[in-house]
Amino acid sequence: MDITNEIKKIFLEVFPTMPPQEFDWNKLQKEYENWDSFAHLHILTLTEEKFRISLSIDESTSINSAKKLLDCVKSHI
Amino acid sequence: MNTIFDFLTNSTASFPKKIAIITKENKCTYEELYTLTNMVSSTLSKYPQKSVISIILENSIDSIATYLGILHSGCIAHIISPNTAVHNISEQLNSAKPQLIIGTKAITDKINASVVTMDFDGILSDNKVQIKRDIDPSDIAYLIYTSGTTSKPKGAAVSHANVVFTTSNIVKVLGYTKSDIDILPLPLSHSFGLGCLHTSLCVGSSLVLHKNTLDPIEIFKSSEMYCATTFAAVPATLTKLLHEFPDDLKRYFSNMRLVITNSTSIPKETVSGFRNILKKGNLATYYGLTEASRSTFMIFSSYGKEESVGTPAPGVIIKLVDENNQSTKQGEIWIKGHNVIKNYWNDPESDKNLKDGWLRTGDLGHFDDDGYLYLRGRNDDIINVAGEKVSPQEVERIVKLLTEVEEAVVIGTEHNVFGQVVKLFVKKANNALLTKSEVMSHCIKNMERYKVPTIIEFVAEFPRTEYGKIKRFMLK
Repeated sequence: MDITNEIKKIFLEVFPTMPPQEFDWNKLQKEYENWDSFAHLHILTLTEEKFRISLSIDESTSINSAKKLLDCVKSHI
Repeated sequence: MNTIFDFLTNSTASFPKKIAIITKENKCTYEELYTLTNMVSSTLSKYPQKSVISIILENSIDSIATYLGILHSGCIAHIISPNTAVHNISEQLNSAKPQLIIGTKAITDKINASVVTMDFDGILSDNKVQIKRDIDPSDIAYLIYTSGTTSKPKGAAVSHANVVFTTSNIVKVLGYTKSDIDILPLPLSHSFGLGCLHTSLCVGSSLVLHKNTLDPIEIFKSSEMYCATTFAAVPATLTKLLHEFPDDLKRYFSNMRLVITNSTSIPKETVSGFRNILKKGNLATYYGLTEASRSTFMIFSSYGKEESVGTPAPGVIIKLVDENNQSTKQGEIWIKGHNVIKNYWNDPESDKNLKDGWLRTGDLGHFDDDGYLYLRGRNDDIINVAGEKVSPQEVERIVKLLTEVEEAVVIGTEHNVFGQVVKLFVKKANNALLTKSEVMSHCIKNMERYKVPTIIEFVAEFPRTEYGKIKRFMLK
C-alpha cells in the first residue's frame, strides 16, 4: 500500500472542499478552516481503518499536520 | 426590555462608544453596530412584517447586524449553520418558506434555492425603506431547526418574550455585567452561542467572537489581550483544552470569573480540572433545548454534585413524568415556563410535544433530595454528540444511498470527549465489496461532521422481532 498517497486521500476525504493542489504536508491544524474535533476524529478513524492500526491517546493528540500523521503511521508499519 | 432589539437599543444609549463586538478581522462599538443594524433593517422593511428571512452566515459582525436587522424590521430570522448539509438546508427551506436568503455567494450557489438570495454587501447597497414597525414580545424572533425523532428537522419558533425571559435569567444567575469581556468560540446558529450574544448585548459587555472552529491559540491570545472575564464552550472543547493545553489554561484562564458550558455529559475530571484552574471563578453549566433554553443552571461551586445539570431556572417548572403521564421521581423531563416555545414552525406533528404550556423533552432524568436534576439519556433513539442532536434515521437514510448497503442501523455509543458518538451497523448487499472507509467517506461528503459515524461494524444479520423489526436495543 502506498502510505503517502493513502494519507493524502484521507485528508482530501475529510476536507472535501479543499482543492487537491492546496494539500500541503506541513500545513498545521490551525491553518485548516475546518479541522475541528470532529474532523480530527474522522482522520484518526479513517487512518486506523485503512492501515489496521490503533493509535494511542498521545499519538492522537500529537497529530497536527498530514506530515505528523504520516510519521505516526510509518512508526506502526 | 420587551424585544431582542431593545437589548441593542438600551446598550447603545448607555455606552455608545464602548466596543460591542471584537472579531479577528475588526471590531465595532455599540453605536456602529446600531447604525449597521439599522441599514440592514431599512432594506428588509420592504418585506411584509413576520416574513421569514433565512441567514446562512459564519460568525462575524456582519452576521450579527444581519440577524438584528431582520428582527428590527419585524421579520423572522431563520438561522442556518453554514456547516449544514445541503439536503438538510433544502428541507429547512421547504418548511420555513423564506422570502429571502442571506448568505455568501459560495453558500447560496451551493443550495440552488428557488427564492431570492443576497449577500451582506447586497443588503447594504439595496434600496432602503424606513418603516417603523411595532413588534410584540409574543412575535416570533427566530427559527432554529433541530433534529426530530424522525429524520425530519423541526423548527423551534422562539419568540422575543422567550429570549427576554431567558436572558434575564442568565444575567441573574450567572451574574453577567457591563464589565464583562466574553470570549465566544461558538456558532451563533446554535441556541447556546446565540444566547451568549443576547446576554452580552443585554448587559452591554464586550463580546470577543471567534470563528466556529476551535483554535486554542487564538482563544488564549484573545483572552490575554482583552483580559477576558468569561468563556463559553461545549464540554468537548473544555475537555480537549484540559488534556492538551493544561499549562496555557492555568496561565490565561486562572483570573476568569466564569466558564460556561452546556448540558451534555461533562466528565467529572473536566469539572474538577476547571475547578482547580479557576482560582477566582466558577465553572457553570445549564440544561436546555432550543425549544426551552436555559431551563436549569448549575454552578459547580461546591463538591458532590458534579454530574448534575442543576436546579430549575427562576420561573421555570420541571416535572418528571412516567409513561402514563403521571409525575414520578425518575422519568421524562417536562418543562414549563416563559422560556418554552408556543409552537414549532409549520409542524403540527411536533406540536404534540407541547401541551398546556409543557414541553415534553424526550430526555430522561431524576432529581436528588436537594432538588438537583440529573440527566439519564433519552426515551427515544436521538443521539447527543457534544450537544448536537443526531437522528439515527437520517444517518441510516444517507448510508442506504450506497447501493452496496442492504440495511443500516445507527445507535449512539459513549465517548469520553463528545459524550456520545454515532455507531453504524451495516449489512452489506450480496457480494458487495464495500469497505468501512468507503462508507465513512460517503458519510463525510453527505452529512454534517458530528453526524458521521466514527465506529462502523459490518454484520451478517440484525436481531429482529417476530414481526421483522430490528431490535435496536440489542445492538447497544
